Amino acid sequence: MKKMICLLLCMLLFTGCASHGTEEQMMVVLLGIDRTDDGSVKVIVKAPSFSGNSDPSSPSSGDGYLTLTASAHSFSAALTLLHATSPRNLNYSQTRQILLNQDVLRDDPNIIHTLGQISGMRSQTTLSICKDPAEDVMKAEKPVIGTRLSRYIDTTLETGIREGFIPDSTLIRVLTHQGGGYQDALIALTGLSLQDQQNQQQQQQAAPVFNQSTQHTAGNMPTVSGKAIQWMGSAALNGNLLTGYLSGFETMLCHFLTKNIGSMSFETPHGVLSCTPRYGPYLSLHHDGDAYTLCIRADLNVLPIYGASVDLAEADKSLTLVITQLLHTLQSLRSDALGFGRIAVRNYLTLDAWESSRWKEQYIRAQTDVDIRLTLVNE
Amino acid sequence: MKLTQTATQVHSPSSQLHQRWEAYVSDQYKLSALSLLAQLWLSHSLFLTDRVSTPSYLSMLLILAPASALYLWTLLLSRQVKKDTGILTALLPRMLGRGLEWLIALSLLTDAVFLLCGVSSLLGDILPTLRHYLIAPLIALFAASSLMRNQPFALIRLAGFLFFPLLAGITLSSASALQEGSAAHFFPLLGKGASSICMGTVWLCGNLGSICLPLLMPGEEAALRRMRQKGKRRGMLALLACMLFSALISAMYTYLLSPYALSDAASVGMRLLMPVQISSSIPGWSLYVCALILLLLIAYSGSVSRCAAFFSGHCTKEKHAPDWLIAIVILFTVPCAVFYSHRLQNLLIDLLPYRIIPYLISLLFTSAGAAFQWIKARKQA
Repeated sequence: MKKMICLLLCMLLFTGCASHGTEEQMMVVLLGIDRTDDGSVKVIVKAPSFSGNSDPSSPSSGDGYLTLTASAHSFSAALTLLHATSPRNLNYSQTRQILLNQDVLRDDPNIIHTLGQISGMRSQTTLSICKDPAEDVMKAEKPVIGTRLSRYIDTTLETGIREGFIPDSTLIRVLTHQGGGYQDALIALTGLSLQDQQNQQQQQQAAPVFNQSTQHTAGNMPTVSGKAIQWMGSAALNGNLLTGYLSGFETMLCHFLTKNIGSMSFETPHGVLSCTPRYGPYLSLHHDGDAYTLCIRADLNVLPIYGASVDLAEADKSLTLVITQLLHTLQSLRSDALGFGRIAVRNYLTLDAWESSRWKEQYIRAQTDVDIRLTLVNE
Repeated sequence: MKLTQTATQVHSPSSQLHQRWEAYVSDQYKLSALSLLAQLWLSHSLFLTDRVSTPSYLSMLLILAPASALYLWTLLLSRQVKKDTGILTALLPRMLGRGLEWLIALSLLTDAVFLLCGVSSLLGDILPTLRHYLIAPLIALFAASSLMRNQPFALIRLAGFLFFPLLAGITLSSASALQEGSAAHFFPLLGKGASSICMGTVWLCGNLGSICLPLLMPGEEAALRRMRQKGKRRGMLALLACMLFSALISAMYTYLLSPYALSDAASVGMRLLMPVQISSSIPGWSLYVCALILLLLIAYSGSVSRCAAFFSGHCTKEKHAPDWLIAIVILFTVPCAVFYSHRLQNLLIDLLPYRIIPYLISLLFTSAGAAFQWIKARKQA
């Protein structure tokens, strides 16, 4: 019996390599979805060609990666066409990023669910929204550091998430949020940096520096940043509907308030402060009759960086204002990205009672109450 | 000090016999416990996740009450037996006892079908390129080759050997996914309502056949009673541990998945693999999948072996079911798994709770038989 079980487990472990050789399939690293001018959906995949022949005259294999496209009236039809025309079976188990053009998501809100249904799709794939055509972003996406695109994307995304400027929007996480109804998902925003856009004759305005007072989203970034692709900010969803965008700072603030990052940089007129929590931040709901109040309490240590001088009262007021604005922004976008629904659901005993409470309507109308206390720390 | 001499006299034939009995009884219980865990886990994926939703762990905890009652009832009856045979044939007229054993064997056959459908659905989802109709026969072939030629005892020993590693493996592998969960998923606390929790508990009662394990044991001889009691005590703990463990697994699913995450359309295999989908740890989910497959295979082989033992009336350590009977039982389980479909799944959902009825009928008849024997003995005295 023991021998049989060992044999069976070994067979299970080796089946992948036995049935599919590396050169018998295409490992999709990037998947992009665009809306074309005639209204059809275009699916683009980028996969390593595993070929030593890098012919620069060939547009598809110049960088060691093969780009395949297919267009049809719907995403499913385009994907089917792509599978039919690709030289090998498409394997999505190593897909690192899905680039979804904003127009596609607006036209077909269920597309994220459809993406989750693709056979063999890696659940930890990062989902990104782009305002620019996904195909342009994919063309520009190259490993600036290192040689492997997959590793480059992984590391760059990890850095962005750790800094807090983009949300952790893996496909499974977004699907879980969409299915749960307790919290709305934020999806990372990806775009071409200004320089790259100018190269493609796309005139857009650049913002001079990054701070919380300007709307910094991908595609609206400094001209020189060392890479053509930027990950910055997030797309806010209401259920599965795309309702708007948050800047990089707003996304970082969301991360900080939900305790996903341990510190946050905050700009005052006198300089930049680094905030770390002493207590909290705590999210709570006050219930008075039919009216809810969204409450945020935090006791923070602030450390001036780059030689900034600190006026605590002013910084306190400024931070309170910024958080209140964030709450109002999220309410206007009908997006409960901070997860107040997770707290509200505790007041209900059954799912029927929760569903009939129409939480989202109450969330949009709710008052806000932000109480921030700052303590100065000198190194 | 004699370093070469062991503390216990293991070389004494009577001690060896006692220890073997103790280990045998304990391993039988552990096999039952693993079988119970596998069935409860499958039941959770098949029925509880979408019909009971968030509080499925409460349904799992509530079945502790009927399980305890059933176990105590069976244990009480087993103490009335003085012969070295199965309880049913010892306390009832032989024909009636054999008839009831056949009834229990049918229930065990349904257990085996249920487990084979579960494991083939799981393997089908893990290995999508493997042709679906090949999976169930391959598992059946594996079970046949591991059970025939007096191997059921090896299976019992293996269950005892793998009991703790399996539980530890499942715990460790699940831990990697826990960071993706949320305590908010436990709310609303009653999910679809108290009635759905009770309905879930009633449905789960179909899995409690493994609790009636003392039905498998031969009567107790005075000389071996003490050692068997030790084995039983250890085994009882294993049963309890597995029931609590299944409640923990339910709680883990609730923690990881929102109430709306699982739809009717998902297969049992997909539902079993949900924590794997969520977890980002490759070693974690590999260990999880291996532990789950092992658990289901052992439970399936155990159900087949016990089903054959009840059909042949050989429920004791000394005897085992003939190979041809094991082969027939396995062949009976295969078609359902090969033609497994959504319609068949709904049929299974309707059928599975009734698996407990043969046990209840047997216990009722055996109680009557025990009462009759007690009155008869009193009159003679």
